[in-house]
Amino acid sequence: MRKYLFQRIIYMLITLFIIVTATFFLMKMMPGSPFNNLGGKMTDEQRVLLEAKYGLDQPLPVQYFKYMTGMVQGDFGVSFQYNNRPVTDIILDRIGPSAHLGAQALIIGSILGVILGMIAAIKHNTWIDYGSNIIAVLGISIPSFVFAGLLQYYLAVKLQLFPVSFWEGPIYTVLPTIALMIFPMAICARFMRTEMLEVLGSDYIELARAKGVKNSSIMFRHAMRNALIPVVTVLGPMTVSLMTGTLVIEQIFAIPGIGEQFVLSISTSDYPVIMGTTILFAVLFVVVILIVDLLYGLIDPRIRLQGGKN
Amino acid sequence: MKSKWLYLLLVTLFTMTLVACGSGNDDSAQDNGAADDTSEEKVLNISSPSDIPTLDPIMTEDNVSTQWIDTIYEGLYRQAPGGEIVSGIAKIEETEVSEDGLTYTFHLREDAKWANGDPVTAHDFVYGWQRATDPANGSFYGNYLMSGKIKNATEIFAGDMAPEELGVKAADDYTFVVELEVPIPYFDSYVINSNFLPAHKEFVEEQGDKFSLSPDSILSNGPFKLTEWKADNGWTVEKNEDYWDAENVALDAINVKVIKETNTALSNYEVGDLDRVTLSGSQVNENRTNPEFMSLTESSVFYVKLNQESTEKSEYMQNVNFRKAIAKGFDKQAYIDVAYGNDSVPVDTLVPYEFVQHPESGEDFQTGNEALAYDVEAAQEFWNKAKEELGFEEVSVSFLSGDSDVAKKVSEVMKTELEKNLPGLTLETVNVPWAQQLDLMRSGDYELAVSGWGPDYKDAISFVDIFVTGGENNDVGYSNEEYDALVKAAKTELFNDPVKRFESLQQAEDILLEEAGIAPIMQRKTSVLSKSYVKGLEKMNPFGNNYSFKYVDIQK
Amino acid sequence: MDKESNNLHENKFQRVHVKEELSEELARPQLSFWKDAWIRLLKNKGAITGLILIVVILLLAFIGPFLNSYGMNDENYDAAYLPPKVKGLEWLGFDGISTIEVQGTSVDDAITRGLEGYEIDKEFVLDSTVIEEPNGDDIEYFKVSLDVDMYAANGLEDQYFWFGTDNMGRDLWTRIWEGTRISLYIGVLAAMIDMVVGVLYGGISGYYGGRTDNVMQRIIEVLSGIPNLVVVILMIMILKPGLLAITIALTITGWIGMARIVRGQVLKLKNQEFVLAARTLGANDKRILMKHLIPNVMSVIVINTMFTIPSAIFFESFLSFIGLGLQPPHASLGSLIDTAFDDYRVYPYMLLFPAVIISLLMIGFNILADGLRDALDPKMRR
Repeated sequence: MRKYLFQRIIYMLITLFIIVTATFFLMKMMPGSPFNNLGGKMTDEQRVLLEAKYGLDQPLPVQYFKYMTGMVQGDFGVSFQYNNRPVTDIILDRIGPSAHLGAQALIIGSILGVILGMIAAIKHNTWIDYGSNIIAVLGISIPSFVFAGLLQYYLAVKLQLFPVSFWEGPIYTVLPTIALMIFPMAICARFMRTEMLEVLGSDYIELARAKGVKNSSIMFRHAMRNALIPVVTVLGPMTVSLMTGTLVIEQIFAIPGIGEQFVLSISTSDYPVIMGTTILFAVLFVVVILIVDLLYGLIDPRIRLQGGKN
Repeated sequence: MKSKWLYLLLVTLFTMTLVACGSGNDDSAQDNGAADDTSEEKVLNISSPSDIPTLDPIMTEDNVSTQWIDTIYEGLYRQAPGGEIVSGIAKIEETEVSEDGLTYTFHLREDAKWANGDPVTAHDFVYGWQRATDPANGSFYGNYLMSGKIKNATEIFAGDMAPEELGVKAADDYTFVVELEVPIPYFDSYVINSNFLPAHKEFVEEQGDKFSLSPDSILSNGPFKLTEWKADNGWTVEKNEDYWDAENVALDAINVKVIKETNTALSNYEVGDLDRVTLSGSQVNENRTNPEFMSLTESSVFYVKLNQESTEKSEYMQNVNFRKAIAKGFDKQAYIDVAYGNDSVPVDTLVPYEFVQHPESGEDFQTGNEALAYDVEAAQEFWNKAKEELGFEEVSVSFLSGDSDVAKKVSEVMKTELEKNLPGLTLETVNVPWAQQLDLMRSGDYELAVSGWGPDYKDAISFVDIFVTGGENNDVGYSNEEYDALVKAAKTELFNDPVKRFESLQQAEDILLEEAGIAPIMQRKTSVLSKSYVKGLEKMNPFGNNYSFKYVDIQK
Repeated sequence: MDKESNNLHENKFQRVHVKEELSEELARPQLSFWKDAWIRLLKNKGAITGLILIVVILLLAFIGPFLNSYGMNDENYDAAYLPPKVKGLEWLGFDGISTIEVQGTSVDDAITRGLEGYEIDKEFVLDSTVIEEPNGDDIEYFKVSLDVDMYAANGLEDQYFWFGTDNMGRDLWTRIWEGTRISLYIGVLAAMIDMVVGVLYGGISGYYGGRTDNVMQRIIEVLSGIPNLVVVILMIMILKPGLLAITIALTITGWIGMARIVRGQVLKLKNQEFVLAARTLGANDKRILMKHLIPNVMSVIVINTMFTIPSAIFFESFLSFIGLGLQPPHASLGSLIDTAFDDYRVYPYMLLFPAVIISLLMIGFNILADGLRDALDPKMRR
């Protein structure tokens, strides 16, 4: 196990290195320069001057080498669009609200989804099953920004039950959390239901029943656990995408999150911010994938990742 | 084993939430000042479409930065609502201009102070201006506005001279002298730009890289000072009691929230969190009947660039009848209705209305040349002439525009209008992000593109100068000797003859329009809802900072 | 007990196997996996409902635009923002009447302002109701709602825009069905990519495990780690925006979710007894993967596809949003919803119809998918 972990961490570093390198060069191939968002008023000479100031006139390999050495020492550079603000500050300022909302939506959404899916499976082909199915389908077919807009208009403007927007305290998180959790909830419910149906029909559940094991014990100890693999698989990457912010929800609820900052930095060619954010996302992603792989083994001890096929 | 993994999962998830909540709470520690103005305090609650990109006066390049730098700093002069230039640190009525128009002597008031109690002196202006020209600081507008205008600025930007050699000096603590390379008749409005603000040398150098990054690293000398600034969330400015004219500043504070989604901003206004909101799209129609509704004139003009240097279709684009047919061949009102849905005014000209006035009679510069007015029949006549001259039946031209919702609607309406009115024309619409748009424009790989221009100072030349032959912003290849001569005269020998200068600029504009160098579309208006108790925001300034919060009041 | 009945007489019995050679013959016709699945699918009422729903939408997507006389790009600025109106369905709300809310210092003032602001003649106001009156506190003005016959007000009494019109007066019925067609193409395309690339990639990675798995999973991590938007913007440079660009953008990363899910399931199943049995019987890797593992993973594949389709449809509208997708005046369900969302407070019908169609489509797909799951699941084959 320890050897496996060690190996995985080495691989993780290699993966990260490839991601960072690829992103660096792809990003430099993007059209535009960070210094041309001025309604066309800037002349080419002025741009050249500015590019020299930030070392953007040097050959790409030199820039790359400089960036990598800086990065290893923990220096992620300064932003162009926020005049000289350190990238680390920009990210740290904005990751909090995004991570908070994402975690809240993920936990509530997945727990509700798993429960909904289990109930639907147990009450297979009843109105509860159909109802939860329809909720799940609507949850995935109506985009979250439409949900968010409707929630905001009816619950905050018309009924004034919640604040319209902003990031000032727990009550402010209610509406965005609901809007965000619909998707994970729907996905968990659908996977849970199908997997549970399958598991409930399998021999070992019937054996457990025959042995007189309590129903609740069958559900939680045997059935649910075996049904969790797909749920865990999808929830892993979703954790990253939820916690790193979603552009539209953040915009609709005026939340100072990282999701839309990332999009903004790409559209303004703010290279250091793009790189910093990519690295953060990539680290989170590979770590989450590792956790998911480890969870597989915990959920189902028959799964072994270390060896090849038998 | 049963609960081990479940336990592990829960612990992980909860730790994550706790960590996240912890950081979330840091951000929400401060009470929301909005909505509960219990005391007599006059607090204005508004929103901003973006965070402030920078508060360093010499780095500003956008509206939001310009607006808030103006609010917390004060330069030589400032704009009163509606664009009148009034005294700032310098007393405008005492300013002396030399015969040749090349030397300006500003007399500063002695009671102006920085927020730390130090007096604002001529040395601070000298330092501020030198700072703006230092190439190491990379100020875009400093270069744009000072090069070729302030003595030695060009050489300093090129690195051939030291910033200390800039043509500015402090004759004494309260006398600031500026030497120009060319006369600038509109210098009063020129110096409103934030690159001409004073800077407190000791403070700036002490802050170093951190200068202007947080309320603590900013030293204001203006009507307000920044007290709180949360990234992408909002900021608060409070009245600066040390400001020399503090008794005439009515507001106690302004709370600004960053709201990017326009529907959200409107909702906040409706529940009373905001005192004022800018409307867009269908919101304008929805609220048109609201007694709190206002439409404010801007001095931004939008036009279609007719690229005569197009890589593929230059022979078409260089034909004047072809250009005229396009310029007259689309319904400008339909364009506004579809793309903006607000009260923006269709125009057939380049220089905006209500922007500059005749130096003697006070009449508006813009007299409304109708050479390029929408007229389908005339357009089709020109179109047929062009077809004859160029010998074509069908042609396809590209139409370049941005990727915003408005830009897409623009593409749609232009395509339908032009294809309907000019038989045989196909408009290939290209909607791409701004950066790529600029690339395409630079390479000349387009025929038509929507463009807008907002002035940086109050003079018609800000617009007319764009299309001189070889001008740095003339990327459509328009060239006319007479036009060039008129503009050149306005820039040089006519500086002392404001009437003649004014008229020659009018003539130049007429030439541009008669030849359909561009296809004007509209002068933009901004529609807002504003609570009736907010006073002093009824007009937008014609250039620079949109509003002058110094003069805003709340009268409940 | 009747003793007689216990006396079993020989002639009461009959030989089952009349002939030895018939003993090997099967009682039921042998059905292939897919044929069997099809039969079971047809027996499933829900699945059939779903199938019908999809077929109806599909048909409308192709013939809908031809059912009225308006073209996709027939703009008419006088007819902008008209509410839906259908002959015979007026009682259902398809009556072409808009309710507009106007404000003023008195009821009359509000109405006058409204008529001026919207440029409507008084005779077309069918009804007016006062909703709000000043209460000296937070409400300062009168708010009146006016029911206006928008068609008559614009002199278009004889027109019927079934789903209303958009900002340029284009018929939404036509545009929505044209959009549905494009969205369906994208949905199907995404599903195909998922089924082929995602399933195979995940299946191979999970089944072979070890080093293969390690490398294949790291490739996935790299692909997911590089920001999508950067790649997409680069593609704008190379490609002309349009269906091809969308297709490629989908192909690059669209299959990753499926690959990971399938891998997870295969990891779980590959050590189970039936695989061992198959291997013992001499099945090769390909056979085990295709005939034993993937059919057993089918249920999650189907469910995951159900998520891929709407995600792809909205990914397309995101691409349109950044200029890589369809160029105006083309539309898809996703981009119609995007545009309508900005105006949903004033013109809710613009959002309602595309949203309802996409939801119906997804409900159809899901019911069908559930039926498919039951039909394809080898364990359910009894």
